[in-house]
Formats: sequence, structure tokens, C-alpha cells
Amino acid sequence: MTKPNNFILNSDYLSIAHISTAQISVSFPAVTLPTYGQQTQTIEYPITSESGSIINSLIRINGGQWNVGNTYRFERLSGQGSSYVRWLYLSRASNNKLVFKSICQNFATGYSVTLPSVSADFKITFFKPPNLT
Amino acid sequence: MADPNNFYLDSDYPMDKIVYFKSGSFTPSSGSVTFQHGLSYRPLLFGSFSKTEDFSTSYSFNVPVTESGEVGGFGADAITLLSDDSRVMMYIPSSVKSELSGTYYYRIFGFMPYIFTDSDYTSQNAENYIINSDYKYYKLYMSGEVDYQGSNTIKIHHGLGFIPYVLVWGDSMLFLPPTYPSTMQVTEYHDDHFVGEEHIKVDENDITITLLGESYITQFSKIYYRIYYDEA
Repeated sequence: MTKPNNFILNSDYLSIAHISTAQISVSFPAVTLPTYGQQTQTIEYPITSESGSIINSLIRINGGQWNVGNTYRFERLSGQGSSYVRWLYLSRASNNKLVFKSICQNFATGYSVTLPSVSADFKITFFKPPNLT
Repeated sequence: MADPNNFYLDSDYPMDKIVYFKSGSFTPSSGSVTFQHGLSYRPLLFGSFSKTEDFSTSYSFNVPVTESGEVGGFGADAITLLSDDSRVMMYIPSSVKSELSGTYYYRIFGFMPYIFTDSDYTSQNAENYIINSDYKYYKLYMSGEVDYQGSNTIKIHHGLGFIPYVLVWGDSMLFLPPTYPSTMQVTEYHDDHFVGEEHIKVDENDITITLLGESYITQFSKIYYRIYYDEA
């Protein structure tokens, strides 16, 4: 039985190779939704990477601080008047593009709502899965 | 001291070691998938899935794949990758079951929590390379786990002077089914207008964990972190 955590490098274990990093900015415009309305906005970002890359990222909203993750969820659920949720996330990746989505949902009964525009920066790190080198 | 960022490999800092690796196919419309991991500890899992075997387009676990939710049709649901003391689960809510048809393919990888030292080897094919000098291998600078309760804010000091690559997992007691703690990678920055932010912030000196227990993914009892001597 080996003790992998005691070794800097251990040939008994697969490793993951770093391919590239990228900082990407996307902006989604404001959206007005009727009562119980929903809208999905999609941005495709051209980028060259490898199919099946392992992807992790940090995310920053409206120029704030960096956070671990690739999904931002904003909720304003007041039970009266303005009540909505926005999901903003890295949806999927291929070898020539990344797809970002923003889903906005109005939960308010009898009210339309306008969600403000939002900008998101992603620091994305791509790794090559083992067994594919 | 030479800057580790300039080296592909640095003997002062360990490389990540994959202690668990499983790939295969599944049918989301059939519901959640569970299998035994065979390890004596709970692995920290990550991975991706795809509609095609070549992963030409891939999706991350724990990130929305539907635009309608399990609860009343509202929400954006994900396939959540979980582990416990014996199992790996791809948790598939009803909204995903109904929207993703056909066969999908998964690749799941796992790290060992830092406190453990024993594991079976994963490298079984001598023709595969453990490392390749064409690529950089990230250097693990700090790793550990902290108990987390309620709405505590925990700050972990790394002092690197730059924003590092960081991975975080959490043990959730309240993820469905709520009968056992399950470990999942944290991938969401949650901002509740009235309650506050739930986040794992990363800056040049610290990572700051603030989880208010307001959403199912953040009712964690334990946090596992890995901080790398590589810039994000």
C-alpha cells in the first residue's frame, strides 16, 4: 500500500497536466420580465482548447473580488414586488468555444421586473485528463 | 528562492495525484447513478460529462444543465457529483431526467483528502505517461480541512502575493437524500440580496469562506481546500 500524500511525485499515480489558462469577460444586458417570466441569454466565446479538458475557474461579478466557482446565483426573493433570480454560469466547453449562460426568472405575482445588466470575469484553467497524453 | 511559477515541476511542492478515476456511460433519464468507490476514505471528486464519447462538448458537474428546475419548474438544475464514505453518486434531479435524453458519458477524478496517506495506485498502464515535460503540473502549496458551522466566516492565509488556483469541496448534511453527509465540489458564488453573500473569496493573501447555510449547496459541516503555488 503506497502513501501518496507523503511524496512530491509518485509514479504509481496519474497526474493532471496543465494546458492553459484564460481570463474571459462576458456581459449580459438588462432584461425585463413579466410576472413569472423567464429568459435565457447565451454568449459564445471563441477559444481554442482541447476537447474534454478538465475545467475549473474563479469568477468575479461586476469587477468585485474573485470567488471560487463557475456559477453565480443572485437572488432577490422578497415575497412581494420585486422578486427574481439570475443564474450566470459557464455552461459548456468544446475545442473552439466556451458557452456562457444567464437565466433570469421573475418570481413575483402580478409584477414585471427589470434585472440590471451584469458583467462577469472568469479565470479559467484547463487541464488535460490523464490517459490522454 | 526561485519563483515556483517558473518551473514545470518543483520538488518543494507536491503534484496532485489522481487516486480515483472512473469513466463510462450513463442515461440521465433513468435517474441518479451510484457506484462503490472502494476507497477507505471519501475522495474529493471532480469531472465532466458529455453527450459524445469524444467529449467534443463537455459539461461540468454541479453547474446548471437545465433551464427549468425540479421545484415547481423554477430554477436551473445540475447533475451533482457527490461522494460519501463508500459511494460515488451522480445525483440527477427530475428536471434533468426529463430534459436530457439518450446516453451520456462521464469522466470522474478524485483527489485524496490531505490527512490520509494510504491508497491503491491508479497508474496501471505502463504506456501512459505519469508526467510529460510539454506540460506544467500544478504545485500543491497548502491543503487541509476545516470544520464549518452555520454562518461562520473562516479565513485561510496563504500569503502568496498573487491570486492562486484554488479548489474547494464541502461535506453537506442536507443534500438530498438528507440521511448521510455527502462531499461535493463547491462551484457556486451565491448572492442573496436580503441575507448576504455566500462565497469562497480568493485574494493575494487569503481565501475567505463565508457560507450562510441558506442554500442546499452551502449547508456544509466541513470544508476541504487545496491552494496551489500557481497563479489562477
